[in-house]
Amino acid sequence: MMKLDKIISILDENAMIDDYVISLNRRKSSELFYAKKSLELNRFVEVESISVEIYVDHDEYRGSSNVVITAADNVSSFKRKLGAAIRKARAINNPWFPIAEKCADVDEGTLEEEDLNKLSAKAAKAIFKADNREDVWLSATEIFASMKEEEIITSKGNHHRHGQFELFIEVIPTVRHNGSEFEVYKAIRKGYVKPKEIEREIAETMDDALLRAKAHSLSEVEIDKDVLVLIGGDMLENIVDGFASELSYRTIYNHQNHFIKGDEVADGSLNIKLDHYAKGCLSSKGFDKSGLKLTGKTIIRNGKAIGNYGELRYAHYLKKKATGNLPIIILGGEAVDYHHKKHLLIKNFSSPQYESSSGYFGGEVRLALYYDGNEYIPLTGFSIAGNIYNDIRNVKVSKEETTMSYYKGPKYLIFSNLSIY
Amino acid sequence: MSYGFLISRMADASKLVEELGNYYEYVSILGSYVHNKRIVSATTETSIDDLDSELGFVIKVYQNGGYSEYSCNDIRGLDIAKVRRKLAISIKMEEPLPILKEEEMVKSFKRQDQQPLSDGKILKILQKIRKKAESTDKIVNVYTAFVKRETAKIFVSKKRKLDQQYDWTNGMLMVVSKDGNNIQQNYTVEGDTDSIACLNKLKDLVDNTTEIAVKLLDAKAIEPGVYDVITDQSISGLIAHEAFGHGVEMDMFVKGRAKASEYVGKRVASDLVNMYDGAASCISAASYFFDDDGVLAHNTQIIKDGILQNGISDALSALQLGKEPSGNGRRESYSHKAYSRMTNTFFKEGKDKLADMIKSIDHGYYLCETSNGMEDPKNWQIQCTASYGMEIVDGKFTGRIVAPVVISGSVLDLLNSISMVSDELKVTGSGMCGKGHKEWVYVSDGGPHLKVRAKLG
Repeated sequence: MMKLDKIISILDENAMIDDYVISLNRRKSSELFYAKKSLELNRFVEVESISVEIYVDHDEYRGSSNVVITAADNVSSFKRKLGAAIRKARAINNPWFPIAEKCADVDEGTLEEEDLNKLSAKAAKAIFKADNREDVWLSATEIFASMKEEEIITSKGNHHRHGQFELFIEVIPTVRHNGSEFEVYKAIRKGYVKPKEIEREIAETMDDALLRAKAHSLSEVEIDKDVLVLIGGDMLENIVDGFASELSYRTIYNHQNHFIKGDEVADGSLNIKLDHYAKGCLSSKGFDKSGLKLTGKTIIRNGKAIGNYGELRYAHYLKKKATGNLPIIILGGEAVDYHHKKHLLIKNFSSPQYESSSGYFGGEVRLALYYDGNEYIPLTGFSIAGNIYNDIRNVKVSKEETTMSYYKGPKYLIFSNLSIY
Repeated sequence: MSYGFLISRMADASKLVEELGNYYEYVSILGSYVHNKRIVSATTETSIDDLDSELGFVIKVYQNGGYSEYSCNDIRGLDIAKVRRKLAISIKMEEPLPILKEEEMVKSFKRQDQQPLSDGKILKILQKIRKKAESTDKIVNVYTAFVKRETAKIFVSKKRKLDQQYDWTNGMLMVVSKDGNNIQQNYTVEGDTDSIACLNKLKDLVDNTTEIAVKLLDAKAIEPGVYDVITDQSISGLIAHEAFGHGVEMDMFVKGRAKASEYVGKRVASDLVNMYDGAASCISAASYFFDDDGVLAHNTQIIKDGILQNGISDALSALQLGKEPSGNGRRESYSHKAYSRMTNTFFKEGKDKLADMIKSIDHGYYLCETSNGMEDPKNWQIQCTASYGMEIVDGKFTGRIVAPVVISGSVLDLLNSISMVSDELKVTGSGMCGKGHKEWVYVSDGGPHLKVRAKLG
């Protein structure tokens, strides 16, 4: 692969290029793939990719295009690709926009190389320690212990770096019950390897599989019409992210927003802050792709839209101050004690769906727990549906908190009027 | 240019196979180059970019009764001792896998865009399509895109030297309509080997795509229930892909994750149903000449007259099941593992006329445009979402639209309920498919129109 210094000097020497942003990504990864308890395949990955976005100003416009540098490239092929990219950029008549001005460089995360093979093996040992039961077993397990590093270098002199260790585990616990088999899916993403935590989470997922095996269909259980529906996990992240994106400069510029700053848009207790960092959120990063250094911003306070956010380009078009693409969502709201009320806790969706233009969200539920006032009854094989622009006006949240990839806040959104069928 | 680079690495790969052969009983090397060029003309922006383009290699070896892989950017000058250290594994297989067997083969394959266009010409065509869509009242944003994907791969082992290069193009039109706070969108995608053919197909769909986007502003939520349904060809493809296709990926058989393994030779659908998958089954988005395991492309009949015949496999799962691999070993990229994956998956056409199918409905819906779907290969539950449905009463469209529409329920109930199959087959290669929640590969799917009885919500 071409050296970074050489790439920068070629870009700096080219008078046709008005700005550039180099994105460099490196990944080292130790990966283990199991069928039941048998290791099928181990992999080691050592790769890097380099992409260069170039900006060319012509007339009153700014055109851009990119060049991907591969192992096949040398100085002359890179120069040829740059020439082609400049021609493409000159054919593009977008309104002018800036890239980030020089700011203090961000350098976060570790550069130390851990023994990734040892870390993946340590995770495997913890996982299979939990796989010790006769009634439920792991039919498939995948483990990825990865060091990921991203660098952004811009023509304005910014050079940011972000390093991150990531452990990703995917397991499929399976149960045999009354002659049939049932499974659930679980993905675990951590910034560390803590065997006891892994073992506990795997054991909980295996319990969920047992619940699914014993679960009833909707027709077998009478659900109270005023039941509270608790949604967490990926669906919660999707809903809150989609809702927050209504206030992004990009959505507004594309005329796709349902509300504007100043509108009362949600339950009066709801607060949403976007930020660059939250402890435990693996998507945390101090800069965005334009090289902008990120700081947080509250966009919804007490249910009212009070701020916008977004990347430099669209902020410039709308003559607003850019926050950059903030990767983390922090939610707050009025916590209600649902434990003694009739409620339906959605544990596992087949595939959570959220459609931003209409606001539809829903999906087929693989496992839910219905609390009928006395006990929890496992349910499966039904669907729920709602519309975020209507249903968020009455949404409450749980006291329990959680941290996910790009979300920190209450573990559950609590809805009171979703369609269950 | 990078195809030439890959060919220039054939000799390096052969040498490396020989050197690593001193330590391992099986060695193969896959070199992969993918170049995606995307041209966009939207109401608010224009762009020409290389999207997710990459070049790299995978070295696969057999050791300790199992397989190991190393992914890297280049194989020239590779430090063999270092690679061996990275692949060293202390875990011994409880039940050792056999060694992959290959027949001698040296072949070269090519299928390229016969009607390429310059970036500037493509941009002009997209602009024309966009402006036509923008001219309709209530349309606030139009996004048109053209993607050309150029792929080149080499596969080298002791017995095989294969190389291939192939192109595929996709055109997309997304139209956003707005009336006050009511925002809706509709989209269409087309694909072809040739640029001009692809863009011509897209041009033909502008009016209908725009008209539906405006009509969606009046769409209501469907009353959940069980209905008679006619699927358009994209929804037929979605059912083939999600409801059944994932369930016959044979790496799932190895893990005991697929109910289909108990149904080979048994009825899974009405006797009107015939279903196929294969990179060699038709020319579409997932048509290649050999897979990422170096196995030649197949055309696999999965369901024949309602009876399950075969699954689809990568080399490793076929090896474990004692079957011949079906050429379905696919990787998201050279830095990912190969899994058993679908390619071009579709129901075969039947004899019914669409008009007769619609006439046969007392009260039901014509479901259109794939939104998304999710598989459940173990328990055969379905979740397939259509962007919208058009109401049919007494064999006629009422003009009422519902959106979105989710099909759920049991796979077997749905496939066994197929009572009419139209005589027009269409396979569209536009989307990407994940395995579970990751490992994205390009696929196509389709079929004729189907009449089914389904739970909608």
